[in-house]
Amino acid sequence: MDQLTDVDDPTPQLRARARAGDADAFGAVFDACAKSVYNHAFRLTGDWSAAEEVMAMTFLEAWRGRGKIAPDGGSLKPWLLGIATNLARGQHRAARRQRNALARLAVADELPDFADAVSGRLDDVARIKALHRALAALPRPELEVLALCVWSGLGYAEAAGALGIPVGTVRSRLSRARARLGKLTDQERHANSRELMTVSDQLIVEKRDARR
Amino acid sequence: MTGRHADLEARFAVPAERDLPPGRHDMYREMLMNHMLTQPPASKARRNRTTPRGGRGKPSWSGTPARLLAAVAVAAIAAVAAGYAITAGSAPAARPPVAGRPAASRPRPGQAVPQAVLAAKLLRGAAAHVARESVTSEPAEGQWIYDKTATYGYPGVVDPSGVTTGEEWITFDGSRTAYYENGEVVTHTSTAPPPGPGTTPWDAWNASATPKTAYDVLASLPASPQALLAVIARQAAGQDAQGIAAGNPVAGVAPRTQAQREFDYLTLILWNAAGGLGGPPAAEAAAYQAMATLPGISVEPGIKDTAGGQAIGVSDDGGYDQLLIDPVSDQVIGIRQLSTGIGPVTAAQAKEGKERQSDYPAKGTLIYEMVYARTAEVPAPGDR
Repeated sequence: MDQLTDVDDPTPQLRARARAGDADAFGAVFDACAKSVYNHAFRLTGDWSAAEEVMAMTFLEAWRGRGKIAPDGGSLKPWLLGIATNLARGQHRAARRQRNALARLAVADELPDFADAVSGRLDDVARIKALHRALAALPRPELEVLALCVWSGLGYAEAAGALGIPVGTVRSRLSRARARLGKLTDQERHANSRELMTVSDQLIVEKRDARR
Repeated sequence: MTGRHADLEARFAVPAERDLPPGRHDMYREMLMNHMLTQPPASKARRNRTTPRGGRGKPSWSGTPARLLAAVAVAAIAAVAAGYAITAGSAPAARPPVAGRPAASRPRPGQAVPQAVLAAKLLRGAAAHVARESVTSEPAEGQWIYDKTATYGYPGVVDPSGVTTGEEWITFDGSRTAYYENGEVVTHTSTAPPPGPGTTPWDAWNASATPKTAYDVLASLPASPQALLAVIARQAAGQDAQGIAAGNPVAGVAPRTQAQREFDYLTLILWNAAGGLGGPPAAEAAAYQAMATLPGISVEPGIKDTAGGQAIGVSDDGGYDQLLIDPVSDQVIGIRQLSTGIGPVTAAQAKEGKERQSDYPAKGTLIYEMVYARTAEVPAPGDR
């Protein structure tokens, strides 16, 4: 188990074990990467529940596709983020069925609510939704590259590996995204920031009302 | 962050990362661990299934009530059933590869998983059924359904032997079937009268087992596993034990225990419902959960089926007779039988001291399997 302590920089043995179907190895990868996958999925979906489901599905899909793990390489996180990116598109029927199943299981478990964190999460949702509106000019592939490289901090090569596309494509997509976004006028940016403020203000009012 | 994209980071700053809600990390981790224990690696050869389902008989069975067709499915190996014997509580041994058929993938064949794991698996499958998108309401009575089957028979034991495929069309109410004969699609209309108005689901089912009557019976079952099994027990009590075995696609012999009787009867209904578009999702979910509570149930994961897909075998006799479930869709897709290693030994032969057929396939050898390679709702017979 000592080889599982640093899954962000896994040894070839860990990769080999994960590839060979070692459940302990996968459990360690889950512990190390679940949070990153969860937040990446949230940034793509703008929905914490959907992010939870995508995260869970990602590891199920990873297990199914563990044979694709290359013997050599660094962290498995880019690979997982790539799977999550695909799942977040919500275009795969089987994946959607699995997601629904997971959602139902989660409900059935009747876990305690986390009311203290709800308000913060609502703020997060408002911010992400506003960002999505601001980024609406981006085609989905460009948004995904931005999410991986800018929001999740992957390098070009890692993002390329995650999405299964050439590094050059990652560069060009990000470049095009930057160009598109650069066309936003100061006025649009101002409107965007105002929108963020407005949504936050509305949330505050709603929370206040809810306490009455 | 790399700093390389500082401009974008600043302009489109996202909220700080959050942990999963309390308890969720451990819950999903446990689900993953259970999943890894029960789910084999995905096959590269994916089933081309437009709608998930189970099945029916072969074209030559057209016009026969579906419940009897299930018996026909095992009739090809009736001689086997006649002298069928099971070593109580033991799982079949690993079988040798069959000529012309690839060996099963990991985990090794015959490796039954304990009931606790089965329960977890079935509950997940049940939830998948509940959430299934493809069947949201009962199909129209006259809806045509196409299926393509792949069947395997052990040479010298089952005829035809080797892998064969078949295509069939059937209406949801079972009143019409169609099949290929001499290269042409032949449509057959049943002469059995349809259930009259006001017929209860159970009366209709007992009169004629069709995809629709099985569907309606499943829809009438209570959701609670205990209540559901109580209903099944009452219905099964009115049936001859040998009759249940003969009509059941999975059971090789008459049930010996109450749990086997309930499992066999429930399987009978599920199988017939699968002959159409499956049962109501919630009802199938309840049925799976009820099966998971029965003692003596085992599963065999990692089966590579005759159609090239993956399957999980559910059994109440240690794995000799299995109902096959698709590990992805969690739906019934086939039936399977492994050799006990004994073969058909008549009572008279047993009296003479004969314990087994000398040339019978070794214990655990696959001797029969039928799976659905593809099914789909279609406008008319001949359409795929």
